[in-house]
Amino acid sequence: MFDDHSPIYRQIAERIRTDVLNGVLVGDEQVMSTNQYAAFYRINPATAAKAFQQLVDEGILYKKRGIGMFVSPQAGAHLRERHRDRFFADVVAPMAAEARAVGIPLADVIAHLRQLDRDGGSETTGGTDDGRQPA
Amino acid sequence: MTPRTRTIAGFPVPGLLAFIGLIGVGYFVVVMLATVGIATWGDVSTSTWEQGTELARLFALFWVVWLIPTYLAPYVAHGVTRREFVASTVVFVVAEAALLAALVTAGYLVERLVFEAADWPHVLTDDHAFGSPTHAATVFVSYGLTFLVWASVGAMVTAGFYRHEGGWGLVALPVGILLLVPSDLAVDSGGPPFLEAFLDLGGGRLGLALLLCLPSAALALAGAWALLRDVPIRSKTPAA
Amino acid sequence: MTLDIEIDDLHLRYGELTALDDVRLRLDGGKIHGLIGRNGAGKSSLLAILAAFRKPTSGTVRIGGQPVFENPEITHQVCLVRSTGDTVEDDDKVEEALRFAERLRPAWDAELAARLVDRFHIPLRHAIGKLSLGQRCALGVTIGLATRAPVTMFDESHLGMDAPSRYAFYDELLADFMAHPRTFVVSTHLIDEVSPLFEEVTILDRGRILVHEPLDTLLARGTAVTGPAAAVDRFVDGFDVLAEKRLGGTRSAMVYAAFDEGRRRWAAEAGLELGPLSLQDLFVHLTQPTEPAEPAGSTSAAEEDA
Repeated sequence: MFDDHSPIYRQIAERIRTDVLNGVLVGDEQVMSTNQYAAFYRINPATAAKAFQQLVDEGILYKKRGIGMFVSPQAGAHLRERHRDRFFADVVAPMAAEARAVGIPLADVIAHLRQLDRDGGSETTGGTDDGRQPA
Repeated sequence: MTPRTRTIAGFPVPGLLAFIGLIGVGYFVVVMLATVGIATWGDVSTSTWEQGTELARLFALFWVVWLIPTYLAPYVAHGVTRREFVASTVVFVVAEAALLAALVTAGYLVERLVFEAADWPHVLTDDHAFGSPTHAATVFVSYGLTFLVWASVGAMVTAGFYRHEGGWGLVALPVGILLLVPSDLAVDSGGPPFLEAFLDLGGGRLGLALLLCLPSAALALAGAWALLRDVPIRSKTPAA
Repeated sequence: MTLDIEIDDLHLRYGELTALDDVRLRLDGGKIHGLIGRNGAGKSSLLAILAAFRKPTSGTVRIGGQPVFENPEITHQVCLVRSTGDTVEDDDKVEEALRFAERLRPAWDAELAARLVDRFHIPLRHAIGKLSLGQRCALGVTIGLATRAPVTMFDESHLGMDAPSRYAFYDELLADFMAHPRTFVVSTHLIDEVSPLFEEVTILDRGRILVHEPLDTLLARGTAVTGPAAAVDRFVDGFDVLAEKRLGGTRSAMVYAAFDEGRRRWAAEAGLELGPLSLQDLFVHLTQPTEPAEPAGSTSAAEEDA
């Protein structure tokens, strides 16, 4: 359910961000209430509330008084943008550094990537890498 | 009915007094049957119910001795204060004494009818604070006082043993006996001669009984309260 | 309306033995509080005092602003469940015990009690003395929950229950807490299993309050640093290391510290993995008598309880 990598509320927030990123949750869609989250994951509702508050602060969720929590319509785009930035900083740059360190010319890396591009077609796979350090 | 009223009315468990009453009635029937048995094998020359009432004292005592260790902890665990518990116990003691006294009184009256029908002499052996077994009022008060004192002392001694630490049980016991004996004797003598001389007051006998029994009962109940008012509720097994 | 718990200058002594020593604690109403401590730390004594089972040697204990001991206004609103089953008698049948509770508890929910008895498979007609330990404990928590007392406390009441029953208990506790918010205090040895339910945690150690904080704050105080031994050594140098494990060239150090963004980057670049400590880890190492790790944060946390 929850691993030891980070506090529970961070993992909940990350899970919701991932769902929004993948399109599992779309803009203006209602998310489970904090109580439903708490019951489902067997945690204190205050912990769930903390996760939700963080997402509200980030602009990922908004609250409709008396009804519940909803995904912000721009949340998906916002997260994809941020994920994109992180991807280049956290994945591409280190990869390039490692390639250099190991002695692989970047030209080879680029050629390899082009090959993958031709083979993979226009498939887009969502980034469901739960092992990632949260933001 | 508020929860508190309900608590006191049904103390310690609902139906207990009715149950006690039923046993009392059943006991009377048994004694009467035994009397018939005696008549078959020998002679019935005195009241058998009078002998039967000796047990009644212990019966009155038993219920109080049972209820304190059995119910104090569950009541406190359910949010009832010790004060409320003891107050309910006092009400129970008085109600039980009155109930049993009423049963004994009724028993004598029925026994009189039975004895007259069977032509047996309805005679008492011991010297009581009441004159005739059919003087319902005096019989009732007499036995009521006896049961009241026995039950009250029972409450105090039980409280002492329940409290346990400091050996309060061993203190309460002699004090209890001290309160019990004179009161009991005042109601039914068979006791020391000086008491007889002192008691040669005729109808004042009942008055003396009242004078001794009521304060004794009150003291015993006060003693029970003092012992229970801050008694800790211990775990049944050693705490982790 | 939820009831707060305020404890000041509380002492409890049994003759020579001091069970509780100068305890000051404030527990906010309407939350699920965790109370953890080693055997003999004083948890049961503290809960017994809160429930008016015992009178303290000295100090004040207030619930909802009112003193507790022998105060019917308050005691009628408090329910303490212990695994020893104070509310029941061995000779009684289960259904009698439930009727007894219903009589004495104004907020008793008979439907909930019936549903829980069913869920935990407690035979209604059996004498309580004949129940297994698991069933007795389950009956205890059933009574505790169905009482709906504004202050409900569980003193290791799940100890004898098997895992499925325990998880059923946690689910029911959470569900009823969310449906009928009130103050819960749960004391347990199964720290990692139960701690996700807590909003705040109090650690009792040898009769004194060691820590009282929101769960997240407490968990954030510790970090596990794992990686190549030399790199870990450099990284944790100067910090309070609670414990460590070594396997070959890898070292895992449990540090009583939270690291800022800068240090986290350093860790990532050095190939070190940073993770949180479980509450159980923190607890075990904070309450070790030989450790000097009396965390600097804890005394200020205790003072903040006023």
